[in-house]
Amino acid sequence: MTVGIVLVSHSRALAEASLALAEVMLSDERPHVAIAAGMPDGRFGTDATAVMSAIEQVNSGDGVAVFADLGSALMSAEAAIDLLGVGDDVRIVAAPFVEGLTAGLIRAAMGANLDEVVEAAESSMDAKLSALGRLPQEQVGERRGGTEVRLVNAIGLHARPAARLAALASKYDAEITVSFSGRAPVNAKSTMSLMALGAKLGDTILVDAEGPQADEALDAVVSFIAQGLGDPPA
Amino acid sequence: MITTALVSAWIARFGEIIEDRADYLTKLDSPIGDADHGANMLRGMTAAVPAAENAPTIDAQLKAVGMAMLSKVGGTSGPLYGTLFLKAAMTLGQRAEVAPSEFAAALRTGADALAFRGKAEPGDKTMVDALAPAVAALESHVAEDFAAAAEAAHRAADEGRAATTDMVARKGRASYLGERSVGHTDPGATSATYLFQALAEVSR
Repeated sequence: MTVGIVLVSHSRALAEASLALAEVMLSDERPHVAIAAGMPDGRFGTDATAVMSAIEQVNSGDGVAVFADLGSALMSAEAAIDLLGVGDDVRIVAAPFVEGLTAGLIRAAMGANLDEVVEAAESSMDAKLSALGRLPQEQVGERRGGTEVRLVNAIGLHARPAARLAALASKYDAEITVSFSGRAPVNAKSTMSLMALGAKLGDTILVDAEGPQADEALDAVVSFIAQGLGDPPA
Repeated sequence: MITTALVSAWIARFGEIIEDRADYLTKLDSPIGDADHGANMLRGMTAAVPAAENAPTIDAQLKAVGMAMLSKVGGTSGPLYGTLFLKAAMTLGQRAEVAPSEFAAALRTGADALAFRGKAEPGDKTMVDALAPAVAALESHVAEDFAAAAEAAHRAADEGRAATTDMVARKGRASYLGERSVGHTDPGATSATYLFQALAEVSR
């Protein structure tokens, strides 16, 4: 499974720097990425025909997630998809450019499908809201209990371990949350939200789950965390 | 009948007006946009005019103009004008002349697709405020005489353009300005008016 990634931006420099920043989070795996950004003379602008080429270049049959900055970038992306006549396997992601790209790129590199990549990217705004303590109160919810577990891997809930945990959580039909240090619980299926908790080696986090597969999900997530999130033990 | 020669002349005249008025369009775009509409449209039309001249059928001409706008304009007007011309082209089939009513219907299809692409409605202070009444006027007069219909379309576009001055912008970057956008004529509605000015002039 290799979901293709397309960046559409008014500025080639902005697209290249955003990609470089997001790629810091990757290990060896690199998804197919193409950039359609800026005008040939260096001016700000977007070219729908360049977006069409970029989509075709990275589409290996597993779908393409298109990340666009604003205004004409969105409209050029929509026009490109319309003209290519492609179906639902090429999607424009409704996410902030840098956060969305980072979350989506990590998930794509881990072999996720298009739904998972788009979901990871589109929930990336929650991470920023949570980090700033501005998640709406109703999302905080009233939790009955949950299970406490200590982080045993050296880098804690950093990018790759957080991405692995989010990928595992996404396999369950359950609403799984992680909270840390008394702050609002975050969605365990969102890499960026997990990273925003800032939980490190030795910290104890609280995991809870609700829904049809809540029990299996809670067991799997807690034991994965206790075993070091796929990292070697510290 | 509408011929490839007329379409070439229309696009060439539109290009001339854009060239003449590029600075004015950019000036309109300065207080309520990113001050690039004139330069952007000029870049698009510089590619579109020769492309339209060299295409053998009307649908190919409109398609060539649409592709030029999509790839050369850079700003939001690129995918918007691109959509207008490409969707209009798709309704026509490979013919060197079409009936005026078919041509008007093609522009209606293109204008509707543009409004859909921009998620804009009349009153939002966008090019739709000029395009929608222009296409409606063209359609309602096209059975009588094409020159008169194009003239009516230009008048309707110009009235729609003028009306944008008092509107509050609800789309694009101008919408960030809210009430401060009042008092400025929309640059997109202005360039769309030139499109129908050009059609009226070459149809006389």
